[in-house]
Amino acid sequence: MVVDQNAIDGIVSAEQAMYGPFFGSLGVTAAMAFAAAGSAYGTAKAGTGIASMAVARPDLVMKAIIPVVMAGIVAIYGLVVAVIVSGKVEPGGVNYTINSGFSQFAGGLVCGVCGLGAGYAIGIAGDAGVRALSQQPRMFVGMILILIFAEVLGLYGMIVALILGAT
Amino acid sequence: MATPSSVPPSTMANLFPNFRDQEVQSAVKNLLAYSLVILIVPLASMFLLKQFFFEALLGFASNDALTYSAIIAVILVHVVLGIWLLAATKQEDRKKRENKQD
Repeated sequence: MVVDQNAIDGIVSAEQAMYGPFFGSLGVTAAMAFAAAGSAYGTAKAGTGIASMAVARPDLVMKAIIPVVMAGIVAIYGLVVAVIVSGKVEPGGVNYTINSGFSQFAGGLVCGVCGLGAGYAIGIAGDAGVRALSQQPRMFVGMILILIFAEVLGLYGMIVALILGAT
Repeated sequence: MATPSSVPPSTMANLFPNFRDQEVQSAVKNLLAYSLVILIVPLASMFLLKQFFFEALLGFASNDALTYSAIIAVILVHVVLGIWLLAATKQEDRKKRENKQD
């Protein structure tokens, strides 16, 4: 079989395309923006619940604010992945093929969308949870468990993103 | 917060009807402290660990140092969250005991 050196050179240079970093940067944006959107929804939804239950029970604020804190942690996942991936984006070349760019894009997207889902779940469950908490303080443990299971979804996304982005 | 009693009850008392309540005041103070801690701890630990521990002490490359410090920052955030949960639960227990004594 005759090997065409020109074709091999073409493939190698195509893998080092200059648009590789575009996908890496897009991954950074996706990680931060989607995670922040989920966190914002969770904060807003849980915040309305806290505002309406704290009128009657302001002493429970330390417990009722926990959904907001958990939504904030989802945004920290996005921030961590965005900072790590942005440290690895560089001009396309031997060290940065389009494979790196694509896997960073995938990593950012998986972290961002998992964060979006986790924030959404935390918002809805937290809203219902804090309203129930003002009526029945024993609901606290149940609310925390629900929130932790919602939060872990974002953590899974961050782990996969770190694995993808680290390659 | 040393407002004399002669001040008409229009400003602080209207905004926060329960603000003088000892319980509410301690809850708000706790909340402020924990909020500051949970905001500062992950960011500070991530960048300080990278700069002064992994890079300066252990001599890791910049990328590796950032990854490891990020993992430690996420773990630290959960530690702070756990302490928060403990504090919230303890507060409730203490209140219950006081109510029983009454």
